[in-house]
Amino acid sequence: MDSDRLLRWLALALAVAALAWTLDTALSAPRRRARLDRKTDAIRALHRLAATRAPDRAWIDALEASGARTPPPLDRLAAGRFPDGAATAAPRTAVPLADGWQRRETLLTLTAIPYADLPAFCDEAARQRPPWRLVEADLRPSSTPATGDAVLLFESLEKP
Amino acid sequence: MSADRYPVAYGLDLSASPPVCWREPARGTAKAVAWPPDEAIRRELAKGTAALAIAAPARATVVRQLEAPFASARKAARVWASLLDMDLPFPVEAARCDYAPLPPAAGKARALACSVRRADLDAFLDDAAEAGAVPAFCDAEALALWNEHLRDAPPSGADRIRLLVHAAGDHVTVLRGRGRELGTVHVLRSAPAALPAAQWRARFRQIASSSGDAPTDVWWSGSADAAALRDALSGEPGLRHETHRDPATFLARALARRAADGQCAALLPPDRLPPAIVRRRQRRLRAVWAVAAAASILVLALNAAVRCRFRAEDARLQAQLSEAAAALTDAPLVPGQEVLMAERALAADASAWDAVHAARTADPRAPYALAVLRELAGRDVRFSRVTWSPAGLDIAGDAPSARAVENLTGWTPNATVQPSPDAGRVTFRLKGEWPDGL
Repeated sequence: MDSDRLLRWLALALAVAALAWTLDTALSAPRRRARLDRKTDAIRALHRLAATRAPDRAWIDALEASGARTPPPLDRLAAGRFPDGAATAAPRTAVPLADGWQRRETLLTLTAIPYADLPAFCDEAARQRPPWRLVEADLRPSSTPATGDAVLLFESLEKP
Repeated sequence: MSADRYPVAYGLDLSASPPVCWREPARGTAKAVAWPPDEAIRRELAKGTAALAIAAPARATVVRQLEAPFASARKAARVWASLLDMDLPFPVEAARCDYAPLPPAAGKARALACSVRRADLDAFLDDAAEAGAVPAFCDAEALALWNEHLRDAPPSGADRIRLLVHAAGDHVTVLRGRGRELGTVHVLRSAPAALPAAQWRARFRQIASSSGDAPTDVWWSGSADAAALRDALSGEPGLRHETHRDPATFLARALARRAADGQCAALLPPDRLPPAIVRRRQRRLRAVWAVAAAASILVLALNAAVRCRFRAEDARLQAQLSEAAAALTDAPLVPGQEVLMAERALAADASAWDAVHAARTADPRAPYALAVLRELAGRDVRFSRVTWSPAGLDIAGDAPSARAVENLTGWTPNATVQPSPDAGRVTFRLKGEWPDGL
């Protein structure tokens, strides 16, 4: 009879434990699910953050992989389009960015140039690798129509 | 009623001389067997694989119909003993009772109660034990007889009164019923052969005329010779007499079938159960508890599996989260702060990467500024100065009129116009920010 009683109490204890644990599992399931959902959302958010930086990173990596770490000098580019002596380039101090890259501004002064050639020159500068990007321009036409002086501030990336 | 079921059940009519025993198997042919039983039957009964049913004698058993003042059977079960106590010739506490439910009538719960004084029952069971009978069931003779009678000869009408006369070795039991319902039970404590015909007729008429309508059918059963009793009633008008098939085994058959169906009245005290039956019930109870324990263990295991799965999924997501955050920041990660730390890391070098982004993407301002200048040039505007900076566009010059520098496509600068020293022209200055999005 003792073993019967032991079996009965064991069965009751197991039943109570099973019921209690099942209740706890069921009641805590929404909390656990919410925890998993939070982590899933956080992973998606991190992937979105990475995606915002990814194109720029890929572009800079491609530049480096292709060996294009320094743009051609502006005065040399200008010499190929404008008259001799018309272009003077004055590089400014570089500002470090990331991964060894730096940003450098260069002031290009063009004297007595035909303004009609200016858009094409700016396009050509933008096509360099790394590209020259026009930040500011100050045009002062001369008395000769469609000509004058131009003071252009370009910036580019370089990795010495 | 008992809930136990057995593969083989035996019914033993101890009122017959010699006792009549009937074997009712779940499968196979039912038949009469000798009593005392042979070795095979003794083994069956000793092991508890067969059940033996006997009937408490009708002379010692009181059968009553009870009616509760409410319809709920569960509530009525609490008051049956009190209701029966009012009608018993002995205290209900000193008796063994059983209550078989009847169909309710007029919204009131009903039951057929049978009870036997404990002392009488013990004496009967002791006598039975001396005859070699250790029963698993002690049924009520009257209930068993009426049950078998309905099975053998179902009534055709609900209102027909019938009598069942069971001639046992030492008594005659007369049951009166209407349709399927048992009404009254009468016991003549005399062997059929010793019952004077006149006395029998008088008693019969008394029973037949009680409770209103006269009976139409009289059925006969029993192990004793009831021919004399039947002849004594041959002059009674309006009676049809029938005899159940194999009347000598009628009660034994009834007991065996009720034992096999689990319908026996529960008059046997628990302390008189055969040891084999007690062991059988203990084994079944142990099995129930074992199954319950096993089911609980299964449920616990399922719970553990569910929780383990959650934990594994949580660990997998955490690993992905840490990896994704580590790709964006070199700082040691704090669990729960991964997105914040990554956002901070990205914000910290945002200006550097903004410069890369600017270098990568085409400047939309150049074609816009060119378009403005071309539009102005097309209006005979002469430029004295054009300044473009991140803040916006600043154009100075002279034009044929103020209208020539108005309504420029997509640009709304602040315009200052003044007369020019050149006749017919005006000087102007247009200064404005870049349109939104540039």
